[in-house]
Amino acid sequence: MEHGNWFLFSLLLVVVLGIVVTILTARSGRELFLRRIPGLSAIDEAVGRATEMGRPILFSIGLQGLTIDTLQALAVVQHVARLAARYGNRMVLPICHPVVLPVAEELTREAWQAEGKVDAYRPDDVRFLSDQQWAYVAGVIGMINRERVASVFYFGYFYAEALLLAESAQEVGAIQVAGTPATTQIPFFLVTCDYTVIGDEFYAASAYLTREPTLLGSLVGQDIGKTVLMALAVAGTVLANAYWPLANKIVGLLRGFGL
Amino acid sequence: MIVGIVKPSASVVLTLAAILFGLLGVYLIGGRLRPTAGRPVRHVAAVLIAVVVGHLVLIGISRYLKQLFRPIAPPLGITTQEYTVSRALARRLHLSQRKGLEITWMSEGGSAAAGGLIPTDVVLGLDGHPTGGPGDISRLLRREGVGVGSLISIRLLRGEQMAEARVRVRRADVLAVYRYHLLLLVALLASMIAWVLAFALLNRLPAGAKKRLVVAATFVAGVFYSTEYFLPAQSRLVWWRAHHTNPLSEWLGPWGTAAQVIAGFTIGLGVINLVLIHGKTIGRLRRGWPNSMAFFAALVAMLVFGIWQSYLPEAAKPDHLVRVVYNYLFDGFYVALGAAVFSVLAFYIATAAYRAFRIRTAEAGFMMAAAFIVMLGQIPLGMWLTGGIDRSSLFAPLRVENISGWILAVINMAGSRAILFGVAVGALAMSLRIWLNLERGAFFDQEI
Amino acid sequence: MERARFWTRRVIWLLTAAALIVPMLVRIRLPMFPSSPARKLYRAVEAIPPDKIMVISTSWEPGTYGENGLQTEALIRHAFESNKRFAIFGWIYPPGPELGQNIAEGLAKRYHKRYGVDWVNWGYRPGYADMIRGWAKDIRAIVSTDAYGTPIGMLPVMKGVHTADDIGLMVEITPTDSIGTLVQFVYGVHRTPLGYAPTGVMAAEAYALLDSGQVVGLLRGLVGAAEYEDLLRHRGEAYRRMIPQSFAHALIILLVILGNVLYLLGRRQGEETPTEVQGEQRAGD
Repeated sequence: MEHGNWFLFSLLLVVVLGIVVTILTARSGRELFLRRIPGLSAIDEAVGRATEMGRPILFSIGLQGLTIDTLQALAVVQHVARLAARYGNRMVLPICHPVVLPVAEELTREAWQAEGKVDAYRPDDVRFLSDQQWAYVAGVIGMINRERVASVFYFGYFYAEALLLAESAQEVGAIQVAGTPATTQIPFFLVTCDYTVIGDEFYAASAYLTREPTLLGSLVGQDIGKTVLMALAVAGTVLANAYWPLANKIVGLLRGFGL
Repeated sequence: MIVGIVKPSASVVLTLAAILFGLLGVYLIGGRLRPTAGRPVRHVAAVLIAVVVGHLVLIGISRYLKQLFRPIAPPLGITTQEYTVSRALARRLHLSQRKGLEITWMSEGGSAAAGGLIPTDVVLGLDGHPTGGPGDISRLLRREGVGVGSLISIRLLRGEQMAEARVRVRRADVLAVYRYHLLLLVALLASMIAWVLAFALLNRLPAGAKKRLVVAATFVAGVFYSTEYFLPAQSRLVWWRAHHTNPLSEWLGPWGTAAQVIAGFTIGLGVINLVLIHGKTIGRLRRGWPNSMAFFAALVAMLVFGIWQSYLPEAAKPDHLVRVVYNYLFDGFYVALGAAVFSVLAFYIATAAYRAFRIRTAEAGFMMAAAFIVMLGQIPLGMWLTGGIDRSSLFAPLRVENISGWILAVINMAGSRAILFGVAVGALAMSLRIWLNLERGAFFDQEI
Repeated sequence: MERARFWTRRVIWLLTAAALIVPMLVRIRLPMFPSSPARKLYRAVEAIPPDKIMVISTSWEPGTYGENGLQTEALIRHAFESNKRFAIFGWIYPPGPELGQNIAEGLAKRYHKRYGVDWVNWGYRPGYADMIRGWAKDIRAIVSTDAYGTPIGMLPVMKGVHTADDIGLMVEITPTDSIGTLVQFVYGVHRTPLGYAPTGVMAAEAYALLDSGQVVGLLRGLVGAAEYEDLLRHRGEAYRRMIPQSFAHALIILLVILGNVLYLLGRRQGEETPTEVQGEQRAGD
């Protein structure tokens, strides 16, 4: 639909209020439980392993521009960059979308600076390859093989190239951690990577890594939002199957509200 | 034509300039109000006041500019658009070219009207020179030997007949050519200078102010898009508008276009980055320098032949050298290489199947069984396996393509829908945090 | 161990190449039964009223010709055979409409169809979602000329076509997820029937749209193109390519089984097999 309606507005309001209330609650100091996400816990291990082997890390943030998914991926990039700087290792960051390039450069430089290792920072490690999907993939595969990377991270939105990248890294014996909201590529990452973060676990990455109360609170709010949607779906299904005329009446009523 | 060119771009430039002006005002006004962190209301108020004031000022300036540069008649008093004659008609009339310029508007007192031309005429040539591209008419009017009072002959297509017209060049036509191009140049230069100044000013702001600017801009943008979405196309809430139409919807186009233009310029960043890195590799003869040479060769070749074949009229012929080379580069290299890399996926799926698809648990076993059924259900070989079951019998649902279809349409559909809900809520939460300046970590906490 | 791994991969790749190439050289005929989503799309095309136009949106690049190109060919063939006028349109990738036009021109000779009378190429229009919004409300404002500069009103095929309400069916052929924009602004506002022809890997997500009725029919990659050819009673290129695909799928199933058998045998013997993956933990374990 081109414009929202009252039903959608009310639904959005409920979900947004849930998220805002939980954020405020978390900020007030209440402890929130976050279950273990193996993929995100393994990031430190993967970086450490690469440093032990004396081989660099490669991080791919997918093919999209400055979208929500890429922003989330960049949050993970910063975390990994700081670890790499701390341990004295290299992190190669090939970029597909040119809009992301200056942001990524700034981010990695800041990470090295924060660790007091600005001299060790190599600007050429953050490089634009191509905005064409297959040219980018060919470039990354080449980098994986030439640099003989020990750890590879895939965080962001990926398309058909997911398996190509993962298998190439598998050939050089790299440990691989992937996180993507792209449902079509999750199966490929699941079978080829050592750790995979799927669906909305991906959006929990920044909260998980920083343990910021605001972000943790937002995660709880997200769960409330999902519960609301699930309840609506179940209620609608039960109603439609149990008593169709009543379901029709309700839909008619909602249509009156512009549904 | 001037009005036509100035109008749409002016609205984009005006909007962007007003926003910049307004955001600059955040610092100026905000400094006086001493806003503290976590008080978005004051930021918003400052932005709104500054945007309104800025917009009013710029509207005033543009009105004055419009008076100064009154719409002037284009060359010959006509506006044109490119036109391609159909192959059949071109063959019938034995035309050597198919491209012409169709007259879309004509000034009643102009020289073309006096010469007997009418709108929908297609101008094919001027004094024997073909006119197929934009700017051809004004270019030909500036030729040596053409001046005020010259009689020029125009070859044109009217309907499905060829015709000839003679037009006397007037003073207004010759002046128009120069003033039009001058105006365009001035407008371009002025906007470039304005943007450079604006960015220089922005850069001089203290870090805290820059951060407030970004936060305010994000908030305003979020308010705009969500208000535009939830306000219906027609609503009595905007009682002052004719037909109560949504006033924000007409700004979606210009803002969207402006964003695309900005994004388009960033390709330059990518190219510069590539050139620097490969240039260094060649310069220092690092490992892999022949590959960097190949990069430059490919970049230059594609750029040169791509632009050349687009602008050279003769290159429309399929056997022209430029066209041949371009097709070789595009179909032979670019398309073929892309398809080749994509095809490698088939081989990697096979190795992944052997190496990694492990049935370690009962759930994995169910998943693998479902995968086998779906794979077999899509291929003729699988359909042949259960081909013996009659399609109209009671056991028809057991045919592999029917089971496969059920798995995809019911189980897979439910699962992917559930993941989509989760991803949508996750994206909503992150957008909300960015909008309200609640996002933490990475660059969100940094000073700009 | 390393050598075993090295040679195993190469042997698998050779077998894959053989499974794809050999069936192309040997003539094998196998049955094909069109699925329900493909049949739904076929019926939707047949149901287009004579006063409405079909829009074939070629949002694909040469890289996915193997799937999207053959889907485009099947749909254009159907349009020609059932005398439905159609427009080729592109809004994602600039080369798309030209690729579609080449296919249409190739088929037009066979079916004696004429450009401008039986079909039109609207060309590529930039702007993505913003453009689609405006286009759906007033087609001629966005598409004022065809891809070759001819004013759109001059073409007989465009008679009575002004807004998305005059479109009988719009089929989006693409390797991207652009269908979301069309569902929002074309189906959502004008209730224009939409068809979807994605590449195979994107098809899994499309079933949700099919179930909710936002999309009336679906062609899943190369399979979908072959199913559509079967519905047209014309077993063309897509069907021919399904035969190697069949054998490749069968090989992959055999490889999965073989890999698991060796894995189980290795576990029984308590040693690491060449097929072990690195790292023990997986998501959800």
